[in-house]
Amino acid sequence: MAEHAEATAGPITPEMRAAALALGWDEGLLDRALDFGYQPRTLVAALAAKLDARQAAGFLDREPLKPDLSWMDAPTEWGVRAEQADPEMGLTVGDIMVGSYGEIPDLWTDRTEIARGSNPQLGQEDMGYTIFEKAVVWTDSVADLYERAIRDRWAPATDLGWRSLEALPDDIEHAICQVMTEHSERAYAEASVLGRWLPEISYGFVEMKLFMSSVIYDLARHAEAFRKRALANGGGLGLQAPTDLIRGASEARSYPELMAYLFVQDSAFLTFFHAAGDIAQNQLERDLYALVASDRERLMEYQVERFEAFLEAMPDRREEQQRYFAKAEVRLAREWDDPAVREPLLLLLGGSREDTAAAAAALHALRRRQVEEYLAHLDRAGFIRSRLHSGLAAYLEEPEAATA
Amino acid sequence: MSAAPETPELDLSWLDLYDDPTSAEPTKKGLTLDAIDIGDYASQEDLPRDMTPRLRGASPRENAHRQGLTYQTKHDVWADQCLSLYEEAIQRQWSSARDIPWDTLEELPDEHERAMCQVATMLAEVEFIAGDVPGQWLPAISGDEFEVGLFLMSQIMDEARHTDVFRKRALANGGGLLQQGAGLGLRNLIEAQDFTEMSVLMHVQAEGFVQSMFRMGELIGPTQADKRIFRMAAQDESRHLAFGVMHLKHVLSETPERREEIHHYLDKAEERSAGGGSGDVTFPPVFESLCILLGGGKDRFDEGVAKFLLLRQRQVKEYLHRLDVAGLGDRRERLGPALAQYAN
Amino acid sequence: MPVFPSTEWFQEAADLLNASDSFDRLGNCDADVGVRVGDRCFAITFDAFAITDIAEVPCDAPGDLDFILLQTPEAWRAMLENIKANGEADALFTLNSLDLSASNGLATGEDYTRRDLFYRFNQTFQEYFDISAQMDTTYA
Repeated sequence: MAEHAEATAGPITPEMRAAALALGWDEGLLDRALDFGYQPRTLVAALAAKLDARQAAGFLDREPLKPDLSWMDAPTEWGVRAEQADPEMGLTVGDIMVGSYGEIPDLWTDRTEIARGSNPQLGQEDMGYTIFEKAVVWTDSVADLYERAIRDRWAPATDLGWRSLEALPDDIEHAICQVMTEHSERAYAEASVLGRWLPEISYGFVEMKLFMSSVIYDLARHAEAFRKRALANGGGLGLQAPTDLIRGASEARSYPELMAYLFVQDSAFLTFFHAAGDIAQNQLERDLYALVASDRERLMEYQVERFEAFLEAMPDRREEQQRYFAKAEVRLAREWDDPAVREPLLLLLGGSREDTAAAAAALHALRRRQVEEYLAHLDRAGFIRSRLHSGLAAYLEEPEAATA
Repeated sequence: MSAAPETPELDLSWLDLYDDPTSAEPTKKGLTLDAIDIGDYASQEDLPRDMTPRLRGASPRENAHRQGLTYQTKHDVWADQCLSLYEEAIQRQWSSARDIPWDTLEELPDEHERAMCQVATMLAEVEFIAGDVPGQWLPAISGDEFEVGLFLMSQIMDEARHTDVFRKRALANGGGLLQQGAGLGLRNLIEAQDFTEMSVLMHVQAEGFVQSMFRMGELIGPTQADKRIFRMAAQDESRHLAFGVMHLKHVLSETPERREEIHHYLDKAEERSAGGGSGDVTFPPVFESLCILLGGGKDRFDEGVAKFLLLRQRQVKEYLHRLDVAGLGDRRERLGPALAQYAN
Repeated sequence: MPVFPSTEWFQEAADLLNASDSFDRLGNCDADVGVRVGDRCFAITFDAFAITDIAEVPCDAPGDLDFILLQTPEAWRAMLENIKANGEADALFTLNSLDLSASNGLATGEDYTRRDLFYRFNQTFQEYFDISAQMDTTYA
């Protein structure tokens, strides 16, 4: 072992040799590695990694790898230093939409999994996206809406006063439970439908996908929170929600169809949650409805602005949208007449099953407000319904005689 | 004045459904999914499933639509602890805008900034598909296992945050995005034809590897902001990983006859890429940037390679250990060559 | 001045963390964490939004812990001194960095599913030790 004795006088210490021996490395490997040009600190790192004999030989018994480093010169925009526009909001997605990284192409052409703004690698697989047109999905507010969703997040388990609940008359408790059952299912089903569309949307519109992810997350918590309320105060779950409305969303063959269809229910439900303080029986429910409404406002803002941008970019598709709205309206109107949708609201608005005349008028007023705000949302988007479904239009009239 | 809607007689049959009054009690963690998993509303193995949007425990409507095929047995999608994992996800959300100390970013040597931006580019890409994949599977989950759906919805949010935070990192410190990754292994995830196939490939394999990389990121991240990004992202990734391990354990426990089928998925994934859905860390731009950061510069590249080998060893070791915990300990004997070289 | 390691030291750090906004900011944490310093072992119970129990336990029967943080007394001291000097752990002294640097890891445990709690709640554990920067630690 004269060679070793000689070598240990150099940069390879006896401890290193002992470690190499313990790992079963080839006897002369450390010395050959030095000859190849490896630094002693590299050998120490390799010993610390506890490479086995095969791995060590594969790494050290050859010329050191020469990095190519051509990626360092990728022809992308360099020197970007995004600044926080609003320190309260932190570094937002909107803040990093600068220079070429903020340019959203009208038509995204890359079918691969590529971060928008990075340099394409030739030969990548088609990931199967089907949505490449900006006008189909985009509105400029998505980045802001996404950050607001994160800022305003809440947790059903801990942000609602569950211990404050007090027993209610059976009919009232059960009416609440029916409303909660319905909206838990509706929220979950909408999240599920939206989730299916995520893989269709290409990376060109990443900010929109971020926002849509936050919508799905919001809806998950709504489904969760409504279910919890149903099971927290001596009630339970009621009758499953009607399925016509959500079924239509899952039937959509394109993203514009999906969004047009969901526009109707998103608008109607937002108004409902805004007004639901009237049916709330306690502070927990008032808080719950208010938090849900706050989340749904972001979704509605997206709906209105996306639809407006879509109509402007694709005016030839304007008439087509009438069909989707009509389909959703007829189903919504039918579901509003469903006893398990309508009657719990009458009980909650009237306070009992005995006297629902005033409640019927109040419910009529609520439905009227829902229809009016729906039309106002459409108006903001620059869209006029050619013929509002009669089942909804009827609510725009004054009730002649609202009797139970 | 046209006729207003008439007010029909009240039916009220929906009021007669409450023969099991339920009052879930809040816990120290508030009113959790575990707290409401009680009585007739608790998750059970033998519930009839109806393929409608009905969530477990609600009374069925006779005229409810089916809404496409959904899994009809619990063990096809279930993971023990998915209720608490969902609640954990809700509680431990964070903001890439405000919870990262962006003001600690400082000007770095050009080679370090470029390496960091290359890693961020790759991760902004990888995390993008990790949101698409769970979205794809949501409609297949029966309302009787809605908690699994909720967990996947929380994962979609997590992955959006990861996509956004790595994009922010690339654009916040005088750099930019660089080279697209190799993409190897990413298609595996979206190609899955079965929930368990998807979960094993994405949650256990890919997210396990990415979790190791995030943890290593704390060593390679040059600034406090970088370190915080990786640490927070690693927390989320660990949650997804836990779901995958618990799902696999459940599947192997309930349907041991699926063992070879699951091995087959892993055979395919392991032979197709060295990264198993994690964007393939052997792709030169990724490999080289990691080695520069691990070694401390271009002139210490070899040292970085040695540490990279350690990273890969840890990734593979932890991958095998988790499969062992799930009941697939024999994976060690049939590991694909791209990974086997790191198993010692 | 609390002596490290001791139940008093871990309790004072726990009190500081419980009084801080850490759990509100980071969310709940459920883990039974062991800390081994030489031949002394401690069990720390993170339960929901607080640390609820600190106990010294026998190292040969530490109880049902999810994982044990294990390093030499010298390494613990180096970590805590680094935290004290910087206000929080710097690059090489975070729990995660120490875990990566140690050949067998800092967080040890047979069941990786339980050991993974170390990663799932890592920022909370980090803030637990980081908050010791506010303490005047002496060493046994």
